[in-house]
Amino acid sequence: MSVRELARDAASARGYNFAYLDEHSKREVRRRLLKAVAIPGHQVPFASRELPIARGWGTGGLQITLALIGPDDVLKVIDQGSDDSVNAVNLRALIARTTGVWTTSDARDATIIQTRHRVPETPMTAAQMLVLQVPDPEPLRHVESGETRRRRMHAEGDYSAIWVHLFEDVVRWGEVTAASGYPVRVHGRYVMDPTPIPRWDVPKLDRAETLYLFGAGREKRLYAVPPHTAVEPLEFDDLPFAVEDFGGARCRRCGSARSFLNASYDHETGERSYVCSDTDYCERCAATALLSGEAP
Amino acid sequence: MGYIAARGGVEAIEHARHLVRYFRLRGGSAPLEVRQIQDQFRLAVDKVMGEGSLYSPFHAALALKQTEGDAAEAALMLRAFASTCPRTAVSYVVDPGEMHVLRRISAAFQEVPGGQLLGPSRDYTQRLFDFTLAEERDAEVQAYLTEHAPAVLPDPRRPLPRFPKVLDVLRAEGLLAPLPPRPADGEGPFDVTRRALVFPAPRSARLQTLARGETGGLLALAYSSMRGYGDVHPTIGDLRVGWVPVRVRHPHGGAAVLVGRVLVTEAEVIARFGDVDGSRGAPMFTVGYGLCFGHNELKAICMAVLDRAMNEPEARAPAESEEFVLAHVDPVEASGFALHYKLPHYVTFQSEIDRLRAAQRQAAHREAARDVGA
Amino acid sequence: MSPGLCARDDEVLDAQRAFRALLAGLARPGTVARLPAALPVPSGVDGRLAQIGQVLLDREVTFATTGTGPLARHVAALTGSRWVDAASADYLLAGGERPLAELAALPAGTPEFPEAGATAILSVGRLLAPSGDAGTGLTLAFTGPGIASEARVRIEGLHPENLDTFVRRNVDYPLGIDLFLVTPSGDVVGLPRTVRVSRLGPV
Repeated sequence: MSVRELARDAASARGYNFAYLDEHSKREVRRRLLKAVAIPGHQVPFASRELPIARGWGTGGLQITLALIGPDDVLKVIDQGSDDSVNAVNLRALIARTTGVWTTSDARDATIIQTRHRVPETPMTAAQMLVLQVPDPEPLRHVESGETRRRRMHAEGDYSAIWVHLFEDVVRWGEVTAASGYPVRVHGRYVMDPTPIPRWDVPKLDRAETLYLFGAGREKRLYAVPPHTAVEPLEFDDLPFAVEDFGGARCRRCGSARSFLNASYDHETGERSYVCSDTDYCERCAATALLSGEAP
Repeated sequence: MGYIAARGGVEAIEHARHLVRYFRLRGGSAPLEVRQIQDQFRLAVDKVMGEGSLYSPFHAALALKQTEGDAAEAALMLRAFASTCPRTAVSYVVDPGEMHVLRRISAAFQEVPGGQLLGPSRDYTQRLFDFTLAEERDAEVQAYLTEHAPAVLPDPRRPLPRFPKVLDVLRAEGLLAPLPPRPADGEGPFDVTRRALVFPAPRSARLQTLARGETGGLLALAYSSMRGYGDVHPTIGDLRVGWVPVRVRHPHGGAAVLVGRVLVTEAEVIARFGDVDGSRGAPMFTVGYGLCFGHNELKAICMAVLDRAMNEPEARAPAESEEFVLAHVDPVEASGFALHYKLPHYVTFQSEIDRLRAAQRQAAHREAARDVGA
Repeated sequence: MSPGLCARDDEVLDAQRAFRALLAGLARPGTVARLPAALPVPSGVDGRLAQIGQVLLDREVTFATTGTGPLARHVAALTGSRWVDAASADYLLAGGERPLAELAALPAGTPEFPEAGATAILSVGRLLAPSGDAGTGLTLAFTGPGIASEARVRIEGLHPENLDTFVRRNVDYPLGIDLFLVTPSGDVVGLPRTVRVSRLGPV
């Protein structure tokens, strides 16, 4: 029996089409994804379907994954960098149940990684795709509340409003205070919201090996960044873009000082320490440190 | 750290699921029959059918049972279920003139053609508790039905009464602009579930979005318009509740086939006059229209008020802005996003902390520089 | 979930694999991807054009072909998509070895909706790695998004005028049209409107 037959039997036994979505819905997502890839960073409207998961909880990323995935894929789903975060568990279960695909927490083994708010620390390859869940696809939302006017700004490449907003930040606070979801310019043309990934992850999008696909289910937009495409954070000449500074802290579990760290407060002692947000990276790091006797 | 402890996530979810079931049953009372919810909570069922955008009283009632009465969750379930149903046909345009009217009122005139039919309504009751309902017994219910049902049911030998539309009367008298021409054959309504909505929206997309809208959301926006954030001044020309026939084209032979009847509420609202397209320079009354599944008068009236408000050439208030109204009334989108804030956001929060510390350092430098300068 | 809704399971998985080939091709212009086996088609119909049509077309989009022959009828029946003039089509399915006026007529989108620019799917003879000697066909070098530095492909059976039309339609980015080239054996190359093309041969 082939993997393909196993997958088909698993899905039809439950009365679902393979990968849950009907073919008509997959076709709509597939068409729109191709246009998104052809116009890097541009938000393509799509007829987003309703799923048995609440809007705002990853239905856009999910529709992309369901339209892409085949029986030979290996799936990883993370939220805040963790495979065991409750929402990642739920999404992974839905996809696995309706496709029968292998799932993994190892970022090196996955062919499709669906993520909320992090890009894996482990560099991704040309054989992999990253599907990012998007709460709000619109980088101009907080400088212009009208959708029609925003569309015209993107059409004309007129991003002066967002530059002014960043400048006012610097004047007021001495820094650009945009934290996660830092606005970037793609292929020298569209300003894009990279989703609420930390600034730490923004450089990973630039001229990467991997195809990045972005899905906003509630707002009904898809966008993409092809491999080897320029993704540049908006920055001032005299105030370059900077990633988060952990002040020399290291991960309590693996000792890493080269990954995005989360502060956490011990629920008994209240003591603060830092751990890697990327749990897969952390486990591998800890194992390596154990073997080599050195911190990374 | 239990929320994301390695391997703990799956167990935690399992426990949460068990607790959901436990909390629904722990009172130990007799399990609700879906039928009871369908029959005795008909207005809740109708609300959920409208917001879930699926006409199926059984599924709406089951959803209310499964969600312990959470209407937003129930609507989500119906929407997801509807998403999996195959689209086998598009019906012919339903003619509200064929409605088997259960209730019909008009505020426009004291007497109207066809008359006012009060139907089942609490509008004319005092909102006092009926404590006998706490002791209602099966035997009483059966006795009541035996005695009173025959008088309520319509006589099948008599033709259904017809109720001419008040708006048609106004049109005939030149007070309302004539109806616009029907769209060409084959040109169906815009379906927001099949095509991404962009602005400006076609009217069918507007009405569909309002029909799927959450009653409370529509109420807040319509109320704002009534209270002066807008200028609609609605008079209800016709408010009807009743069953309308739904027909589709038979795949072999092409005849129109009746597939069933749905209960709907329809509101036609007359708003202040203005210069109107198609009226050849003469001022006319303007119109708002609302139609939704089930018996939901509040929703139909608010739909009609918002339909009219959004027709203002220039939006001077939120209820007049199509972009504002249509983007914010969907129950599934709005509740999903509001509740998504419960998801972990610790990475983004960590990033915010970093920015705050940087800004605090900057502020400290400025303070220090000022002290030096002083 | 109604079982009647799904296509045969093989069709479902074939559509998925075919889509992955199209996506891989478009995301990395110049790399040759491989479609799964195509279904049999009536005579006079290009099986690969019909295959890609089935992956992407349905009632929600329109398509054009050169003339209204067997391909147009087959695709319309298979997908429910409506046949229209190239000037209003979302997709063009055509043979690439003769110059195509339709390619010049396809919509290129608008500044607000550049994604309304059409997708052209052209059948060609062969897609090959560039050979040391000139070889037959057009040898092209591509740069741009999706390409690390440069990608080269030799294309047999694509009329040079069609290539020129494609380039000309895309000078005003983000307006433009996107292109897939497919061979009878199922090799496919994707050229998004962002790609920069230089002709290396024949001289």
